[in-house]
Amino acid sequence: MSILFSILLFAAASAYIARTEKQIRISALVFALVGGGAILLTAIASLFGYSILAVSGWLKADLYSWFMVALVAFTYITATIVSVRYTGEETREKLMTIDMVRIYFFSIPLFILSMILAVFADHLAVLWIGLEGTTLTTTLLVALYRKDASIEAAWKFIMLCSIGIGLGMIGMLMFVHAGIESGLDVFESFSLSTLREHANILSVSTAKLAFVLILVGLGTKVGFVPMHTWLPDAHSKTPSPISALLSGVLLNVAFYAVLRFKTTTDLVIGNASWTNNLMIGFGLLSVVTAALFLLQQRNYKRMLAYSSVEHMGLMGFASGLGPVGVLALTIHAVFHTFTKSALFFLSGEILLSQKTTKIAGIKNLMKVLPITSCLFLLGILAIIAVPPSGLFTSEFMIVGAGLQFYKWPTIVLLVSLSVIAFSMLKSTTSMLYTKEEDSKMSEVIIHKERWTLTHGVAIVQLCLIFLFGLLIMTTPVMEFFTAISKSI
Amino acid sequence: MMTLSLWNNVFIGGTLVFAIVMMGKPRLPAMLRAFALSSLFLAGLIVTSSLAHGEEQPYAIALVNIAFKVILAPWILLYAARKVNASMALKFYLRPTSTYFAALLVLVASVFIAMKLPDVPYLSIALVLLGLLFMIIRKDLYSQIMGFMVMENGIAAYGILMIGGFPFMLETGILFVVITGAILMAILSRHVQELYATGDTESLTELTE
Repeated sequence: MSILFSILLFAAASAYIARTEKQIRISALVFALVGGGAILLTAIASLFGYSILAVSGWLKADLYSWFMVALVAFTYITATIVSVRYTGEETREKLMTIDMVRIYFFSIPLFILSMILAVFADHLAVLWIGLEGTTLTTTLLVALYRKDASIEAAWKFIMLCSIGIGLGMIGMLMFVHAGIESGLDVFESFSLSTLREHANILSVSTAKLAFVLILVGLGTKVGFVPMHTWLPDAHSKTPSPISALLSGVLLNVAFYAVLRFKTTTDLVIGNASWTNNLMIGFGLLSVVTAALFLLQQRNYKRMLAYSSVEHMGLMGFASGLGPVGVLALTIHAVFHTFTKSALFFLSGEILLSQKTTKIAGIKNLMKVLPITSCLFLLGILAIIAVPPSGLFTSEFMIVGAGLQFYKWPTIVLLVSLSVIAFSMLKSTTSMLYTKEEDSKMSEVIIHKERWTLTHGVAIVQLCLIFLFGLLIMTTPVMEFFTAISKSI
Repeated sequence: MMTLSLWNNVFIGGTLVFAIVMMGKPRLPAMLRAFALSSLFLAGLIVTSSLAHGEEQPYAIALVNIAFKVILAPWILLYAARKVNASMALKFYLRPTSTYFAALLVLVASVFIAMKLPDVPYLSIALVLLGLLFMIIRKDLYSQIMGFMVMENGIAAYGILMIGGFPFMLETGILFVVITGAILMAILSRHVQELYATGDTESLTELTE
């Protein structure tokens, strides 16, 4: 494990060792392909039962953590490839200085390292360090452009997330205290796996209170409403490849941490209904609120950010639906990561070309940027769960299970999902097909859109979304995901 | 002869009193001094509480705490403020007298919460709530950072009183993360000061729906 961590540390250091802006980008790319590739292959091998790396001590690996690491590594590679193009273009246009490029490529590997640490952490203090590390390593990325809005977004981001993770820490320490009170020693009480093994002797009232604090605290990082206010600001003001990392994997990593405590609390209580109700409540509130904000959205990056609030809400809702729900949210996590990161990459292409994130400021994009527009439209269709997107399968499972256990909340959820689909399609078609009124268009369309690295990455991701979307319904793939979801 | 338990109470009292004193301070250096004293008493609490829990060498952890919270954190903030010639006069919604009254109400509320939740120590609840209150009633960035640090002291107090503290490596790791957070907040407050020529949080109103 220390080898993988060292690669990421070297990747971060290389941003300050390299002299020119080009060297920084190339070294970041090489480290992402080699380091990220090694992590991805190790994770995939572990998912198929071939154990390459020993994870021990304060860290622990199960199938679900390898699954999360695979998502993190995949997004690390794709985001770095897109970043090479994105930062190159922004440097050329003098929007980024060499110092900003250094901070950019210094922070990404440390951010990835923090996420991997949080995913593998068995020791609760290590988990806290990993989660807080994800906030600290991305704060300077949110504030990268040093403009009014980006500084404000970064301030909200660091304050809200740090306070949230602080509250979560109190919840974690309450679990530790419950362990000590039940006769475990301090080291055992800090180990989440040991706490789970001895869940039946832990105090139920302490575990309930601890879970509430963890849900509110780490829920801030997940983006659950009403603690979500940092999310649209941070996602919209960060460079697009970083938004993809934040939305595509960071939210999933934080959600995974919440899920681990949910299952632990369920073991302490003896049944899951108490935590299920909380998760259903937060999940539904997040989806409904996202639907309301998406109805009047004027900024396409904020639109994607609110879509992330919606998807985290959906996953929260799913986690309250028992084993079928957990299977659905596992599938949902994969497709949300692929789709949302592709959409943010493409939104970066739109921003580079149109210089605005305002929906009203973009007209007739299908003619101006035909490749980006086609891919963006496909991504939007995938994110609103149009088949064969795998999100259709996961949402179908969530609604099916929801109608069995929570009829009326599921109906509200379904209505909200319809509103979201309508709003996102409306905003997208307005950007893609609304005709320009003046004659500026004729000047723009003569510049044919060039093929870029971003398009290549987005096509690979969309192919994976539709291919896996079809494969997900086959028995072996479903069994594979069932095994992963059961390992939480 | 003072017993360990009596020293414990002195340090708990000192941590709380200086956290409250800090809340009424209208100038940055005075606020930072009060925070440093509160953190110094917390370091004392680490020693007495760890000894009470059977730890033999809690001094290294206490020293690391003093280095990070009593010396480094206040120095970083003061340095950041002086670097941009920020005003040392802090901005607030409540005057100091009203602030102390609000803090008193928080202390009373903490008593009731502690009675309902016997697993959570009074000091921890009070510091977390005081930190949150401080962030609400003050409108300058430095006070917001201090509010967060007081809240963090509350979390540390929970660890000290209920668990007997963390192993040295982890305590250092946690403090390193906290101090990195404080540095980043100081950097951001410097940028805000440069952009708006004020450290007032009311200037941060660009991002609305």
